[in-house]
Amino acid sequence: MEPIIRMSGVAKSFGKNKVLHDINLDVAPQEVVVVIGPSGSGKSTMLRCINLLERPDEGDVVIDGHSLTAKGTNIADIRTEAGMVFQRFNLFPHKKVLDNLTLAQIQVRRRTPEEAKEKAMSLLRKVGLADKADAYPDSLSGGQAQRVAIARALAMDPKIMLFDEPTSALDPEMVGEVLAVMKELASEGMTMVVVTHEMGFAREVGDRILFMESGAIVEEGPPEQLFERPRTERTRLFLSKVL
Amino acid sequence: MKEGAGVYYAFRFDIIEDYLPLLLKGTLLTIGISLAAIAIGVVLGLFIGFGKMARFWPLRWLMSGYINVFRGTPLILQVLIIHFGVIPPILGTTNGIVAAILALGLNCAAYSAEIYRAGIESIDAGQREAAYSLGMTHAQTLRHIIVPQAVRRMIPAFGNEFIVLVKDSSFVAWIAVPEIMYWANAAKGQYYKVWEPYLAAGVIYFVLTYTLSKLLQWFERKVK
Repeated sequence: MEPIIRMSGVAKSFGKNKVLHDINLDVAPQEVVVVIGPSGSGKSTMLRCINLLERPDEGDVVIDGHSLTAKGTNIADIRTEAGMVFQRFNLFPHKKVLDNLTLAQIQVRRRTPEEAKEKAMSLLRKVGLADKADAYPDSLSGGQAQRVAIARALAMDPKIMLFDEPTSALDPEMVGEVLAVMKELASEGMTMVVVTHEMGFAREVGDRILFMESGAIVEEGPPEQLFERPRTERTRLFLSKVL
Repeated sequence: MKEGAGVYYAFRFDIIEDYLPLLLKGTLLTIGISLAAIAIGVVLGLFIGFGKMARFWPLRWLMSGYINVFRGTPLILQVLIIHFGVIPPILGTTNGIVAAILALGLNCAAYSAEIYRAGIESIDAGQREAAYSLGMTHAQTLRHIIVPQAVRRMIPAFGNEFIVLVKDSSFVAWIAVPEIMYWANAAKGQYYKVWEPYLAAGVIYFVLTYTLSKLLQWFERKVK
């Protein structure tokens, strides 16, 4: 099957610091890829290269057949197909929860306010927060805010969802409610790339695990293989610290 | 009453009474000049502020230059240069009120530009990234996400700038614009009395700036 995300030869530096070296990654539709690795290994930067929040210095990223780096590509159009969930939620604090979900639907997808609201409410019900539609983001707990952020991304009907350490800023008791929403999403066949430190989630939900270190993909494989029989010493060493 | 003793205890309310109609007319002029200068400053400052954040470096360089010049030289100098050097070639004659509005407006624009820039830059990068990740364009992101949040943070700084501008408008007495300070000076010249005219002017300026600050506080509460 044609991959829905293809990264080929992607490299990225910040100043003199080379944070990604020659990243090659194909993600199939409906696949859940979980990226693990130590802090500073380039996981988030790789994820952010997929929707061009970071522009690769070298290589190409192709989303659903559209090259992000080709001339004439409208980046905003392609970003619409890739929902992103951030570590710090990044909800719009000046807008009510409902308006957080409807704004881009109306502005970008050109839906009517009624359509957008209907979509937003059905997603808020899905993440269990329909009663918070008129609340402002400040009044939400971290777990609630992240569920709203997931709903906001889903409201655009993206083809893929990118998660950048979605539970890292949460109090431990709120991690579960966010992971539950992500599990449900995976079971519905959403294509997902998830950067996380939640090894339990990775093992349970991931179709494929990537282990990154020093800006490169060191090892990849299905969870049972990578977690039980890692092929490289570096993967073994990392897993021995986090498991 | 003995001659000379009046310096200490005979406050001459009659001087203020005498000049009150002129001081009040001057007050209206101060208000008018200030409002016009604020309007120029706020609008022009927007362009200068965004110009300073532009990707195109010559524009950035030009706008930085503007801001540095107007912030780095005395306002009174700007008033005099504009009054005697800039306005006559344009209008064919001097015009104090036009020069006053222009000088205060251009000066206000430099400070306003920095307020806009600081306000925009104070918004967390995550807000922009979230908007982009939803497919919003740069313009949509500015309009719906960045500017509405930044404006709230700019209000106190603008309030401060407006208050400074109202007070600094007193400099234009130098070019014979008949505003508050001009008439206070005139009264001092006529009666050789310092306290009465200057205190009267001080009270008027204070009432103006205090009212303005209360107005801005109310506005700030309203948008929050």
